Amino acid sequence: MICGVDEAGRGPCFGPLVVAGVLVENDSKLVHIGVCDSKKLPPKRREQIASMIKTIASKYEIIVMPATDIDDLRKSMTLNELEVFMYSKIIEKLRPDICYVDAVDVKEERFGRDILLHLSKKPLMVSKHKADVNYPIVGAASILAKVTRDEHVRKIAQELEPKLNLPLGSGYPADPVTKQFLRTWMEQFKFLPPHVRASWETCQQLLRNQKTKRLDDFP
Amino acid sequence: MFNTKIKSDIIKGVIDVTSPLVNEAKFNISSKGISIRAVDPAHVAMVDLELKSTAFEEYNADDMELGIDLDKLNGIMKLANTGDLVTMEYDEESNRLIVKIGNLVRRMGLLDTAGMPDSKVPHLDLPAKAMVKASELSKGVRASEAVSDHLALSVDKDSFELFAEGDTDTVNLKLPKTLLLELHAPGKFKSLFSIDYFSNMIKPVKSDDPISINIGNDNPIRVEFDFAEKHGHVTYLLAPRIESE
Repeated sequence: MICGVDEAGRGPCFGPLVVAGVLVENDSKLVHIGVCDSKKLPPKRREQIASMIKTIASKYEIIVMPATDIDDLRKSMTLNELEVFMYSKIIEKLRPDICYVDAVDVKEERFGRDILLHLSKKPLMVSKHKADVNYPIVGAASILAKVTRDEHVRKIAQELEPKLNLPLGSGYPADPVTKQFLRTWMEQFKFLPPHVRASWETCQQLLRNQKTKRLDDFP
Repeated sequence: MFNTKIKSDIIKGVIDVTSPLVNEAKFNISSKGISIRAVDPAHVAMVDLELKSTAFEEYNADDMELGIDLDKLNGIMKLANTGDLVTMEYDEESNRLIVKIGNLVRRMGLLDTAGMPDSKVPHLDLPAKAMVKASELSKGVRASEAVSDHLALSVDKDSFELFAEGDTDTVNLKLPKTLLLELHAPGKFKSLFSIDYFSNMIKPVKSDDPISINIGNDNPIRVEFDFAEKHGHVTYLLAPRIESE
């Protein structure tokens, strides 16, 4: 049995970090339904393929780590360590013979090695950058992760956007729409919105600005 | 007319004081000397610098404004050695500042000062004053940088105190009246400040020189010191942080 594991939502300051794993006998059916890099697919198509993957797969696992949990865990570990932990939980459940993972560490081999340390049944580990593009099984995992995260972000947007009457954007700190949303929120409510990763530098910066007065505040 | 000669170190001092807050500055020139007033883009800090004509070896100037790109000026001044004399002249025809260091000549394009508004100095009632030796203060600030991004400064009738608190560590520097050059406080006064900003403000001061500090409660701080052998004077204002809710 082979499995692929990938994540979605490492960078953004909004919403959960999602890791998904897909287990199959062989990846021929996945190739057939057109599994490629999830980022290149239009959202509707991605959702259709996601439900096909769930039928085709012998087994699949998804872990959703909410923003508040990320903040808590980031106090004691790096983001890479957190992802090693999530990847290994998925692989432990899928128990593959060969495991393909999209490496988040700059050193791809180290990422695979760190995951293996946590596994009771050690598969053959293939840890590569851009594995989601180069291995259909990882592409499939990538699609499940992305679709799951998008669902969560949609719900968050539905919850938060009406409060400001502003779009939330992609949730990435570099997105001007997200920036505008966060700034307006801080001005209006004086605290960070829910579902946001307070440990992210962008959010820390916002909190600092909140507490720093301006010279114009004095007559 | 602006035609001057000055020691390179003094111009470097002007850049050190001003450039942490702004990249571009308006130099207000008069027959008495040069003054610069600027507020950083976040409106958290203000610098007010005066350099008297007596700081110069030669000084001939009429009233005018020069918009100067501080990065450019810094670039050329880096090539001057300590003790070098620098000639600075305004060339009206080309609207450039001509900077000469020995045989090296830089003709520097100037910025339009129309886009550099005059900043208003807020009226502040800062009842407490302490004069602290720069080296003492900078020790406290350097220790604080390692534990937090902000520090508390307080003055009462007996001492000047600096305090920083991080998640696990704290830093405290208490200077009793005997170690201060001056202390005046009708009560206890305390405000919080960003370490980044405060650190940049005291960095240009020579370690043996005094720094004058005026503070109130949750009010901006006024940091003052002399430079260029007292021919120059710097006043910084820094807005406080408020205690976390």
